[in-house]
Amino acid sequence: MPANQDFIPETKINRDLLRPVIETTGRFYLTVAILGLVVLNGLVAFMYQMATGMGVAGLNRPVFWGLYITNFVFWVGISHAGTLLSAILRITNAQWRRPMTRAAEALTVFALMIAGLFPLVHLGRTWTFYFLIPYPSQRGIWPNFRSPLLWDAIAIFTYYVGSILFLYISMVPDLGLARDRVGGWRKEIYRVLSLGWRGTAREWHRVKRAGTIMAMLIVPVFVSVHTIVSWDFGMTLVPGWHSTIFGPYFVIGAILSGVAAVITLMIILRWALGLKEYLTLTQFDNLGKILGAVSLAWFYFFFAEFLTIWYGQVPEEMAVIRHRTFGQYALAFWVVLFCNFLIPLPALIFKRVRTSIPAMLVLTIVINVGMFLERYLIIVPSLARQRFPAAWGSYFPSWVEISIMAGAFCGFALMYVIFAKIFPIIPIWEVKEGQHIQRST
Amino acid sequence: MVTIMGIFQQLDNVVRTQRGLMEAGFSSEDLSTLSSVPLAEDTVLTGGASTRLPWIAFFGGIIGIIIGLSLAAGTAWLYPLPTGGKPVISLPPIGIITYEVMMLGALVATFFGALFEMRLPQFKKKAFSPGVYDGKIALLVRCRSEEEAEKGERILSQAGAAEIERYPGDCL
Repeated sequence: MPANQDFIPETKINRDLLRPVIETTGRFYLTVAILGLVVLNGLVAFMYQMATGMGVAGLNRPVFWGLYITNFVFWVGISHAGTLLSAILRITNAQWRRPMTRAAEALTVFALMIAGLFPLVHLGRTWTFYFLIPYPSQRGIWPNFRSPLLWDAIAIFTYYVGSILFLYISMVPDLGLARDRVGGWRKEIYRVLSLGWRGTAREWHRVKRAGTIMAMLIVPVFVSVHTIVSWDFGMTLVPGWHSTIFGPYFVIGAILSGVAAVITLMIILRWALGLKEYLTLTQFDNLGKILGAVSLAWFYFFFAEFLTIWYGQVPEEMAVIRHRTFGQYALAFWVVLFCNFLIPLPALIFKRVRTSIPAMLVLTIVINVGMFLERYLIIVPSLARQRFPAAWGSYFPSWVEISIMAGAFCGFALMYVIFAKIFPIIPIWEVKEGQHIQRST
Repeated sequence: MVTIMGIFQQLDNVVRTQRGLMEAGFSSEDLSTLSSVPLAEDTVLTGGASTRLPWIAFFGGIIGIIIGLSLAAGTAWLYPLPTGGKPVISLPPIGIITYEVMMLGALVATFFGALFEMRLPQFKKKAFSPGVYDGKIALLVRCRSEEEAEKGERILSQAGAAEIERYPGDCL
């Protein structure tokens, strides 16, 4: 919606927001080619690992969870703010949400896809992944539902299916529009995907009602998913992991990294697709306020977790804390604190920062660097300093792990770029509805 | 049976025409609108405003609970896997799995319930105008006889419909 309250004619909204779908520039092909090459490199590294064995990864006794699991936790976290933001802003009927809901929801879907890949890569013998699927097999056994790893699989599947349905149902009206604006083979695809949508009063009533119900259902799923991911760690007796606060601490971290990722993506979309009239400074200002508040909440949990361990002075726990804060990982620890709290919070207090696109881009990237390192710091130092000092060790990722991780980041970007090419990334009908509401008030 | 469609530029006109059609004897069941945005529910007929979606979501959740329980408790009971003296059927994990599958059931049921209530997918030819996406509003009238159709067209025309089209059969 325009910031200056000028109403944009519906024909112009259709034209502006369908342009990226209809017109294909050379820049699109170049982006796809570059991202595709990095993805290919990651695939080669993955095939090499499968052919050679897990020895090519940097994982070794006692650190058996490294970059792959860090990536899994990070991407599950990134996925969280998308649908959460969209759902909460829908439920509270925040009008400024309208141009950004779909970009956020799509972020969730693709981030979850990437997150889901890492446990498979981490398996080593990836071809046995189907052991996780509950079906009556010849082996005569079922997955062990007492394992938190299986809770993860079920929770992420629920969140993934829910997010796809939530994204799709609100996209159907725009697919109907695209169906009537394109020709050739694409028309047929939109015809099928739009399901025969016409915009009858009944259709609008039900699509809005379903959206609200699904939004209300998906918020508790969101909270449960990252809580369950945290229980992968919390249910063990590993020092640094066995904590009751891990659930909410992970959830708040997920919101912090996810909101930051939504802002980063919106800035890129605004620049790449020329959407300045729709993704206005109002959205960045409001998201900046949310980000500042979440950064503060993150620090609260971070401090609470740290303080209780320090006050207890349990030797095994303190070995991990010392290793993190003043040992091998000290630099990463202080970078995390600066990236997630000490830099963003003071900066986001100022409206000038929140409404500065370059500043928000830098801040949100800084936050996600911090959040990635935070996930790494949770996983690796705890495993490197377990209870038996003679078994202490260290970990550094190998080129295979780094290649797969780079491939995953570019794979996410690639899927997102293709999605924004095929589907209207700004919900056209929601933008129009926002204008109608503004006009009538 | 025929369906007639009048295209209007302004919502006020549509509201007035709807009232006129109902005063002329058309039932609310035989009227509908096509628009590019959801129109305020107090201004136009919503095509059956009462929805069973909350109940559909609720029953989807119940089915999810049954599936979740069967998966977590039923399979453990049928294929016991004693581990370290722990109970084969353990309540906390069953609760977690059941909760997730319940939410999955509710989400999936809401989605398909919405499609069912919207009568989608619908690939048969229905009354439609692409001009709707540019902000115009179409008013659809289902007419059960030729006389009704002529009366409906007359009302639409008098109300200032920019275009009037006729579709054979029920294309509402």
